[in-house]
Amino acid sequence: MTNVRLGKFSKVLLHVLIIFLAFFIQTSIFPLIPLFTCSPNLLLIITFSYGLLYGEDIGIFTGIFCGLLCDMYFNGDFGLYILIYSVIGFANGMLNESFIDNSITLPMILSLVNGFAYNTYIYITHFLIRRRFNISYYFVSIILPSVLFTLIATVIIYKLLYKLDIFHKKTF
Amino acid sequence: MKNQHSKIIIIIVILLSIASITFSHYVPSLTMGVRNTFSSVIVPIQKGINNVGMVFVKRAMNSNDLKDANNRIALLESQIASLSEANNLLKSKSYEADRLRELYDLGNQYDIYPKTAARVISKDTDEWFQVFKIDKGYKDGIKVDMNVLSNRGLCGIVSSVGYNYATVRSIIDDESRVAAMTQHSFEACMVEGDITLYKNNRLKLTGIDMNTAVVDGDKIVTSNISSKFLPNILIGYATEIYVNDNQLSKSGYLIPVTDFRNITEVMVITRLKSDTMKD
Repeated sequence: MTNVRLGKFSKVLLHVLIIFLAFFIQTSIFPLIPLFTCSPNLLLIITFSYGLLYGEDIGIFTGIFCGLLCDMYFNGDFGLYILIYSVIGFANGMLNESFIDNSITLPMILSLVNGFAYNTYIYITHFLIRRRFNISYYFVSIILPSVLFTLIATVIIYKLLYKLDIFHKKTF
Repeated sequence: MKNQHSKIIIIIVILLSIASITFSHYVPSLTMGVRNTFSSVIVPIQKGINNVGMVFVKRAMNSNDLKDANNRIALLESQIASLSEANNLLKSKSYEADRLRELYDLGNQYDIYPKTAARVISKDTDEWFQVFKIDKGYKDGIKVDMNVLSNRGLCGIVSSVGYNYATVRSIIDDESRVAAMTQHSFEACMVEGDITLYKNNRLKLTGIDMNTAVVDGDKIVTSNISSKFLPNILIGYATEIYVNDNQLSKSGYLIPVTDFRNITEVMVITRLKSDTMKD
């Protein structure tokens, strides 16, 4: 019994630590690297990966946590990030049961879909609302690079999270 | 059953966040406390990470930089010679201007503003926004609307301040507007940020009067009629000026002097425009 509890507790702790780590890397380390004209969205990858690996509930809570970090850190209306991240966590969590195969193909496809959804959401809430209609430009020069960077990062990070999950299951 | 229960959770979360978005949109001060507290805790950690990160980045760049630097030193030395000559000439002109100003009893508006240096500690993660945080806050005397300079010219404006950090909106951000003028003829214009342009190192230049003689290459500085920006700070150079379709005004582009791709240190002018107007 205690072992199960300890397992659960350490899992939550591990998740929180990973999210914080991703947040710091994303806000403080990526901007330092001059080669990165745009950077992968690590919090997005973590949110949908956890949804996929553990189901809707964990997906939603991971989403809320990541969204809360962004909302507290960045300016703008409070709650915009919580909304999109929790929905992404939930939507990807729905695929958890149908997802048996541990290959990287599905996460990669999902990374594309989620990346586009997230960026479209930012475009609508921050730009379309101010009548910026140059969609093709935004798509080619901002959304596409960001989505592709996130896709590449997904391959690495998803595998890492997957291995951590297996390791954790073995230990507890 | 389990499915049902998470659906309820997500609906509650969506409703709550929409409520929060609406509230904070109309009453932004509501969330200021939460944000300030959070960032005050986060910023020192980021500062630490940054220092460590910079060591690695610098080490990687050092060997490349050395060659570059040597070449540049030769170039710069030749420039120094010609510039100091020009400077001498300008100095004597400035003395003359001072004397004349005294005669006319005009205040000196070309004061060197008091500045404080700050380090950029984080940038907005999405390419959508050109906003960054610096490691000085109201404990260092930073206030909202203070002007931020790079080593060459105008870089942005402080948009919000916390205890030990401040958020700066750079002039290339899509929401940025700066009242400006040409340096030699004082023709008013407006410098607007636009994310569709900044990758080509351009900003939009609008609202130039039809009958003015603004030409490509004109130096554009902050205007003395701006309510937030101190006058005579260099922004950049006008280029590709054209007449608008309505034949009433001109527009064009501005090449900024600041290199926005790698800003690591900035200077904050610790005097507000509103203060100078009080004097």
